[in-house]
Amino acid sequence: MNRRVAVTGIGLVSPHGDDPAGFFAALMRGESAIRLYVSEEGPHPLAIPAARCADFDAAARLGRARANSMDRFSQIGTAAALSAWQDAGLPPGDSAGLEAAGVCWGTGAGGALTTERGYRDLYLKDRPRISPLSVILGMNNAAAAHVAIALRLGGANLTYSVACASSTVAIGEAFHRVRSGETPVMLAGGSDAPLAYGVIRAWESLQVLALGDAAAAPGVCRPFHAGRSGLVLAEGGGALILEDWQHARGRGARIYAELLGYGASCDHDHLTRPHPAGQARAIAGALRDGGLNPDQVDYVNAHGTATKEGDVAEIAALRQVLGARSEQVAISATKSMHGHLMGATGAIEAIACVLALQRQAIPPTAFLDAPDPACVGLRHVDRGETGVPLRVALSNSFAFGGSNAVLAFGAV
Amino acid sequence: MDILQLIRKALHERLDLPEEQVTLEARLEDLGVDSLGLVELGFELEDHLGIRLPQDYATPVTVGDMVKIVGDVVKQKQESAA
Repeated sequence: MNRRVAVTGIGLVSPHGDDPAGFFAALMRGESAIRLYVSEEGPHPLAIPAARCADFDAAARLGRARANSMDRFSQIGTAAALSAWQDAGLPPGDSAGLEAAGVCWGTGAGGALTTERGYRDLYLKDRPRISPLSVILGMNNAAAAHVAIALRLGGANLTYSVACASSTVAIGEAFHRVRSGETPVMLAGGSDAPLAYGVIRAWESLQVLALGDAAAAPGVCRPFHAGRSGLVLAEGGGALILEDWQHARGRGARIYAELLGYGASCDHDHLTRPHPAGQARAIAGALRDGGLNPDQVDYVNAHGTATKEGDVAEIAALRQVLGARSEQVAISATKSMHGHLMGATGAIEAIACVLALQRQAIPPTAFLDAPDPACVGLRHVDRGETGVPLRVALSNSFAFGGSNAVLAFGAV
Repeated sequence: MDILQLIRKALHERLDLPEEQVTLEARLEDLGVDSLGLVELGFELEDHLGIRLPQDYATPVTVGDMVKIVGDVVKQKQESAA
């Protein structure tokens, strides 16, 4: 028999800082953490709007020895995971009853900074060899492994790399493991530190990044806006503790929200051009998985990257699934404020959803003063709303490759 | 800079160890230098001193063991250069 799954802990390292309450308050105020990122580290100067976790001090959070053995995506991920575990008030992972507790983690770029450092040493600095830690810093499953070591989690340790849907997939897959009764607890989420010179240049060439100077940077990412011009790269990470409902109740844990459903699909159409039919299959899949109908949905935290094609496709997909209900469903894209955290974005947006349900409050799409007529059909939230009855909230993640994943959370 | 001082500096930077804790008698394991840390330490010393440690050198137990292993290779290098 399926178990109910509670969210009993959250933790993050975000461009808005590492305190979930502060993060959510900033979102509610419509406050952007996007700034002009200037770097002279590469062969050519770089200046582009981006959202960095500027205040994150890995050595202070993790100790210098441990921080030195990690790429930045692992540092961020481990810090977020430790916060989530502590927030849930769980004992160490090797305590009795938690033997099957494990980690499902998502990352897109993984150890990109380590890879870049290695190539810089080899090709630019003409060094004959690179650090012996390169392999273990750079591997994509390093963050999940560090999390397991830090928390002594001996169950399945899985890393999903599904581009921008990575951590949504990780949370969904972990959810099914708890729901099936395989384990009473899973730690799920993701982290990414993609602000490497080569990674930024690659995205730049694809011509999907929003551009602007220091003055324009904070307001440059405008999902669903008629004048939107693209996404903003960001770094950070988020972790959720997913726990068997009875297990959580039994120990008197605080329950933020219930994870109800998860749907995944592939457009099977084009690598970068999103297809509403494929996205609709994931949205409908999440509802079906949770035994939900469209009339129960009150809020959608959109994938909403602010690309021309992506936002229109997402609205079309939602309208297809939600039907007549669409007009009443609130929608916002918090990427307007925290940017696109790549493989970690689903985790941080899931946390935004969970907090929205817990506080019965909807964070806005910032800077949405002129919605695109092609994006109408749902109720766009352009200012933070409090005291809104929210029952079910969806968190959408749609990746290059046409890989789609959707989570459905319910208020407690 | 002598080898012990180099090791002190490397371990301070990497593990935040106070230099006075890194004595010849101190056990590497007690200082928090595991097998991976040893590979890294060897790598840094090689870079700094322009030497190559043999792939199969006996695993040092104490800081003093490491100083001797590295010192022997430095001495061999100096002798072959002379």
